[in-house]
Amino acid sequence: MSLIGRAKWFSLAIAVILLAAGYALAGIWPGFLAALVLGAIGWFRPRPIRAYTGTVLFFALLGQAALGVLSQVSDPAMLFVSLAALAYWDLDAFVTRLQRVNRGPLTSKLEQVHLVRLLMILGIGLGIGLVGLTVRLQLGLGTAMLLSLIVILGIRFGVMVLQEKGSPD
Amino acid sequence: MEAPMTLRFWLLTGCVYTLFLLWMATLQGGLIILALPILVYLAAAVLFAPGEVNFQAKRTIDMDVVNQNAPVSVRLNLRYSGPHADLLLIEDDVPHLLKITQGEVAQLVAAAPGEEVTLEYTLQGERGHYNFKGVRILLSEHTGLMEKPVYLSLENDFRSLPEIPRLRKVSIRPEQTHGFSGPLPAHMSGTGLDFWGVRSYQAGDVQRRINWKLSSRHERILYTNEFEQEKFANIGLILDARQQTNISFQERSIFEYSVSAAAGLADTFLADGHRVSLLIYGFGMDRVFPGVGRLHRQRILHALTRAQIGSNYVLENLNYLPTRLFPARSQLVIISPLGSEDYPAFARMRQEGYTVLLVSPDPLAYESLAFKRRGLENSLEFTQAMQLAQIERQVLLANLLHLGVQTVSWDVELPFEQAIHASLGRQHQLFRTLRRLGL
Repeated sequence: MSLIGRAKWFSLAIAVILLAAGYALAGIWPGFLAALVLGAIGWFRPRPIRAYTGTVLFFALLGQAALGVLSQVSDPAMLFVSLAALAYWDLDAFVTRLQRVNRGPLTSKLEQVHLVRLLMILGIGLGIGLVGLTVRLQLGLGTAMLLSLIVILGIRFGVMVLQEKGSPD
Repeated sequence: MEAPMTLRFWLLTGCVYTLFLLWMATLQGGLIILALPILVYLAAAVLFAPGEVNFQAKRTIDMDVVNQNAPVSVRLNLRYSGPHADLLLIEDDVPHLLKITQGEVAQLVAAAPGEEVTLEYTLQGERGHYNFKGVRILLSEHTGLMEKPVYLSLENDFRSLPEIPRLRKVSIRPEQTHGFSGPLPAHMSGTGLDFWGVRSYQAGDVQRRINWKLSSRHERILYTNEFEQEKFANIGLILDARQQTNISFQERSIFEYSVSAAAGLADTFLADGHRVSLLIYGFGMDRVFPGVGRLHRQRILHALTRAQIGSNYVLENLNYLPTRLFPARSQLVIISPLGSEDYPAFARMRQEGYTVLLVSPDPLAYESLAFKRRGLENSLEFTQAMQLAQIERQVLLANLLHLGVQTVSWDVELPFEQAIHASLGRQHQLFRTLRRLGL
């Protein structure tokens, strides 16, 4: 197995283990079982969703992490789950792209560069996430409303871009 | 610059917004924390998104014209100029019917400005004219959230000629021959090799031509041997490319055998010095005007290379074959699997004075082969249907023979040379006997 393939499975294992452990420590056993089911899906890659396993698992893991946050499961653990799930999805997509070409002498170098770039992104994400966990901000009504406005405008922009992409012209 | 965001980018953006909305609904700060790594990931994608790029590409194909299934080496050089590209997926747009036997048609590289990427591969293909249109390039950064597809137009082509079976001399006897000396007996005395007859000596006859044996039996009369003059003929090759007569099995049609037979016959006739023309009768009518020589052989082979099966309501049977395109009383060679409604066309050609040779790749034998491969050759339905079809074909071929059409029914499992010489040898004897009997 290639370096990037090993890294992909490693990140999935980390995500599943942390998710399962977080739910187990919080005593939420259905969450624990769901995490194991997600791990099994990642391992066996069932035929109906084989082509989209990476995407499906990423959203499922992130969704369960969000549920974990709402269920008072450890926030740092859920941050790590989010990071590992993102790494898994990224590496899965990269492996798919590599499969379009046969392995050559340049492939290993590309894999290494990709891993370094991903580790940097995850490192920054982790750093900001840890800072976010330690810092407590009190938001006033005005700030909350401004943020809401930004979100709404952002959604409107996203819809407009999607409509432009979908139009026949 | 065109926004090259992929579906994954929008999915992640949607994900971040969902977490944000959830946070606003629940005021659980942990949800924002989950979104932070994703935001960093998105920011990295935007930061390293591919910019304006420029490529110079050159494709070299080692041969323009090759024989069917012969290996062809292709080399694609691509020079990249522009900002550093994280990932560059280069894929040569190879025509889909070609098989890659060696090397790579796609490569994933990280390209620096001025860097040159080379793809080398070997391919082979069935008969056909293959056009390379361009090169597909996909620029992206490492996350794959921002992708920029580029299609670089780069045209090249090569021809894979049909298989040309080597044939010994194919004996034909057209009604009319032409001008200069050639390979065909011209049914008249003159300079030639085959004995034609004797006549009384005329002043000026070469002494070595005097038939001394015969002259010795007569008093005061000398006889001179005459030889049959040999001239060349006008030959029109007609290739049947109608969809309804050319059956296909596993993406290979019996038409390929017809093309191969046409190529072999054209090659042999031209080598013998005849003037040969070609008409491909299918969706339309592709024609090569009569000619001789090596260059003309190339013209015919190129026309056969691009020949395709086609369906056209107007040309659905051979009745619409424009025989006027061929010189009067010339030799027509029709290569066709033959349809049951084609008989009147042959009758018309014979009435117009053409000498007709039909080379018919046997569609029943071909179909039977297909059924054998599927293991269905012993089924009752197949056996009965095959028997009826064979009877119909035999009757049609017998009727054509009665019209004076020389027929070669070719079981495509056998070599073409074997089929044509076996059939024509028997039929020449038959026609000679009929001629002697005045029939």
